[in-house]
Amino acid sequence: MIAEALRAELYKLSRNRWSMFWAFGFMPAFALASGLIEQAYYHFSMGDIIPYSAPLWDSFSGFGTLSASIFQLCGIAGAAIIFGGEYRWETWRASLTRNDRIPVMLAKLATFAIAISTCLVLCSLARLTSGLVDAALTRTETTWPSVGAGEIALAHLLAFTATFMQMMVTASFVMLVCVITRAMTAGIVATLLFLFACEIASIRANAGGDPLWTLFPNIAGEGIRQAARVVMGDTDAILTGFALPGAAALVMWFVLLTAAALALFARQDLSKE
Amino acid sequence: MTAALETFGLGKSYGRGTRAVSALGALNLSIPKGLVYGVLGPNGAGKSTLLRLALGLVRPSRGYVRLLGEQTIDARVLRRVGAMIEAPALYPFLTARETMRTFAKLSGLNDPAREEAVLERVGLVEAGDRKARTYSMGMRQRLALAGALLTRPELLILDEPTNGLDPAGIQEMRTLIRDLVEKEGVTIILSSHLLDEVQKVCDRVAFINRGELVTEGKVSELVAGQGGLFIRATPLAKALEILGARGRIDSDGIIASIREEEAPALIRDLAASGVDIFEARWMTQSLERVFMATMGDGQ
Repeated sequence: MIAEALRAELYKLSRNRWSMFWAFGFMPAFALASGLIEQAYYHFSMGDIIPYSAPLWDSFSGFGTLSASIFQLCGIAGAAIIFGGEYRWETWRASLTRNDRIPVMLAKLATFAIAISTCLVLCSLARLTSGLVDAALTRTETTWPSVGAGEIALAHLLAFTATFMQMMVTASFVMLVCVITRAMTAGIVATLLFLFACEIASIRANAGGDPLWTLFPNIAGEGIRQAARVVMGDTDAILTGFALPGAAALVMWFVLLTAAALALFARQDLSKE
Repeated sequence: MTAALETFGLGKSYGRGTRAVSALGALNLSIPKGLVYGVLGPNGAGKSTLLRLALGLVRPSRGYVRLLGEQTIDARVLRRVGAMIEAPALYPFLTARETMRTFAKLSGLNDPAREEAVLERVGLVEAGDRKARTYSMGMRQRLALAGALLTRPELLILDEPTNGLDPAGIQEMRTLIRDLVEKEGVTIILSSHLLDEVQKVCDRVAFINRGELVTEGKVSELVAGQGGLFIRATPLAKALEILGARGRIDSDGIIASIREEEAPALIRDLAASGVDIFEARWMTQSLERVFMATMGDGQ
């Protein structure tokens, strides 16, 4: 059942081209365009004021593109389209007379996971491309991390996982709000407010301190990404102690929010979507 | 033989405590297979609630449903059912062909020829590459019907299937429904406000009012029996006096509750008594009249 629901959900998303672009395609395109413009501006207007390029650090940072709340807006919109679309278009009665509720909702979650993973990888590739263009334009020394290929791969994987889990928590929050309110817009607005609160909290937490701050998903994600920087050879990370509790917090939030949304949805009366 | 749909003390209330609103009381109904069954009732009678309960979209507050013999309403049984509930539920950004493909994938069906065949059956092949948001209400209704037919269902549940259709479309829908039942053995449960259409297409009907079953039976039996003679005459008072308890005022005339063979004698008597008759016509019993009489003229 879930495989069939996933095929349908992926097909449906692929045909919703404009929404898919703004939700999952815009950020990689923006990362590539802004990176290239930035490099060209430095090169042609200011000269090569940075005497080296670091494409692998660029690709690493590309995985963090969606970590800032403001840049999560696109992902939130994508999640709202996936989880709230059936309420918006009143189509639950068409889909739930063909497949079961839990598989359909899990398929939506898997669809978001696939889309956001692709988006993150493309963001990283966009940053890598602009880093390589930088190296080609300036012909300055290209620096590589001082650690081995295994560590570089691990660091990239950790950075990807951190932002991916952060986005999955955001998506499960959107899912829960959409199920409770039966409204796509509420999923966007409530999640933005939630992330705004997280951003305010992170201003205090960035100085380190109590691991309880990792209950905020953005701080938890940043802790893991900083640990990944250490793996890449950076010695300037201050939130590395938050990595493990952060990972646990992200998993906990994801499981709790998803379970709550599924439990509510399984019993929800769809008398009017 | 297993019934297509059975309900056992089925009820649904919304809200809690003193604010609870009962949409369906405690409905006991058995809809046999192999026919067209009409569920009729005024707005708010509980028709759509019954259909949503049958499809598992709404959870019952009391009692239970058995759909095609299964008490657990899950995809296993739902894939033997095609449904079109209330307004057509379509994704506006998908074309008709993409809609069929999405529904087919969701149903675990891999048969592109079938997708095209159902579009052809509802007359949407030429408009198949247009997005659903550009469709008229009638076209949306046809597309939703195509979706309901996609999995070759044993049971088709249609809620107001002629909504938005033009007269030709209504005629096509009637033919399609009868063909599905007579040639393909599909059972159809439909709700409609168009009682004339229901009478033409349904074999049995149930009247529901305020969540309760009022009456149920074969259409032919419900409309059988005495019709009435409609008489437009003057003076009406004198005509009514002659008819006595057999007559009652109906708009600008009188309906005489008599047997059809008594009509000529009655007309002669009225004329002989000095009543001027402008119109006299035998009215067969219609489902609409049965409905009005059963539910009360206020409906």
